[in-house]
Amino acid sequence: MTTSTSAADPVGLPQAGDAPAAPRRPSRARTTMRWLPSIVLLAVILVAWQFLPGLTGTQSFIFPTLSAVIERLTTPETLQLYLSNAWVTTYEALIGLAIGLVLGVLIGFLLGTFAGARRALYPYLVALQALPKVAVAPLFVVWFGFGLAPKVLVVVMLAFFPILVNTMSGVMSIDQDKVDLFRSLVATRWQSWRQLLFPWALPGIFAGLEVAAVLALLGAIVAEFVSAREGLGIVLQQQQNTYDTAGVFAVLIILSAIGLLMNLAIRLVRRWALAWSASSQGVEL
Amino acid sequence: MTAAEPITVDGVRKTFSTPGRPETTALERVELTVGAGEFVSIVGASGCGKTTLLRILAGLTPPSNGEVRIGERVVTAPDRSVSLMFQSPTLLPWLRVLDNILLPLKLRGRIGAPERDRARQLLAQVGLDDFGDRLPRELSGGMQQRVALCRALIAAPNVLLLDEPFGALDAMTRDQMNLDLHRLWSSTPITTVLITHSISEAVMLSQRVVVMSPRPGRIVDIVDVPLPAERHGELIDSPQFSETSARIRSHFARH
Repeated sequence: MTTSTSAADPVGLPQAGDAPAAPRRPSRARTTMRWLPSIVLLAVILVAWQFLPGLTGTQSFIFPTLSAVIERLTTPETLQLYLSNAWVTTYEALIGLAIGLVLGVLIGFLLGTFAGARRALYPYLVALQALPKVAVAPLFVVWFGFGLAPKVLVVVMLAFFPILVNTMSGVMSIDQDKVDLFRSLVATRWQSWRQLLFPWALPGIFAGLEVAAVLALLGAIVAEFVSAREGLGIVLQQQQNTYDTAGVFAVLIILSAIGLLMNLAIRLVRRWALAWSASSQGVEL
Repeated sequence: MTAAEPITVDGVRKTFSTPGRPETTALERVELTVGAGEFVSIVGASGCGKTTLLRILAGLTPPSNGEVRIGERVVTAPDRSVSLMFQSPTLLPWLRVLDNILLPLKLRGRIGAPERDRARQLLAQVGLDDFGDRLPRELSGGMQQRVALCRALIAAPNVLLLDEPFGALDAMTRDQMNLDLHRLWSSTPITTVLITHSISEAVMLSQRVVVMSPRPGRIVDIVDVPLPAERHGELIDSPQFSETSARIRSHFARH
């Protein structure tokens, strides 16, 4: 509070002529103050990145300078290579995520609404989840070859579980009064699913989807490491083999940009779909 | 159009069994008849089985013995001619107020301009004309419960079952809600059963008050309320009101 006041009025004395504009200025100053620390930090890191490798005599294949990485990202040939392969990886991640979403929501509903199905299936799903799924990727290559299928399968295996768990716990958190209400209104099973349980579980489904999106990208890259002809995973491996560390950093930057964009898209859809929910606006204490 | 129907409770008994524990009897041989269009309250301490009885009337819980009839039909499952109102408003937070009220009709698959008009009309009757487009979380607890009352009435039920609907409200809101409920009830022929732990609420609204006692849940008295059909706040000071309340209260005094 004190910082914002002093930022708006450096002299610290009340000035009668400023009064009408006063309410707007502190809020603007506060916004700047909120972002200032992270912007300063970024600037420090970028400057250090550019000059520390030279100052410490580090060779560029161990740690490249910022300008070398930027050069990779701005040269038309390399940029073209990165973007076309980024599309392949994003495509694999999105297809797998979509399949994982449908499977996770369907099985989550099944396990959430039928106690018998939950008792029969859930122990095996937990066992499947405990398995390091990346280790299964070579098996998928044996079964499904070198095309799209094995990558999508790895993504599905990784993405589906958080969606399943969040859907299931969302469905099961419904209160008895609402269930009784729908029963007393003689709603069909489909009506109860569609008009009660699905909207009720939606905040949970989105929470699961956010986690799953990160895992989807991870799954696509790892599956490409195992076997692929194209994709950012392959680009990373080739660059590593030729000691093109600046290229590796460039690809990592592109990967985090894809991850951020996917997260942003999910949050935008959530804000629209959950406009009714007070918690989607966040909590202020 | 509505046609109020009588409710007959015939030798209803309900026991609950948990493995490894002795069987508990929630209701012991309950006999009760509620006339068509009558308003009956059931009062009793916690654990006297009054909510269990209401759930059996609603077809949500089956009785262990005996049967409940609405009109001529034996209740075995929830019935569309019966409307239920809970202690909590139980509104769907993602639907606007008007859509919450229309939910019972939407589940039957027919919503048009006449239904929307009817919903607006009900909203106006409880003094919420301007709130149709709001979300439930923008309303106070008392306003939400009034919306729930509109939802319970939108499908023109023959029977209205109320499970302590105003129990969570403050005393002033509660008095207002009671008068709203009485007005809506007297303007439509509808058989109403109200569960409450407030003796004055029961006397103020009902034509008869059923007194229940716990362990096992059973009816110990049925009291006629000698008040005029038209109820208003001043009746609370009348001698008839105090005498009736005193008779009901005598069942709860420790001996």
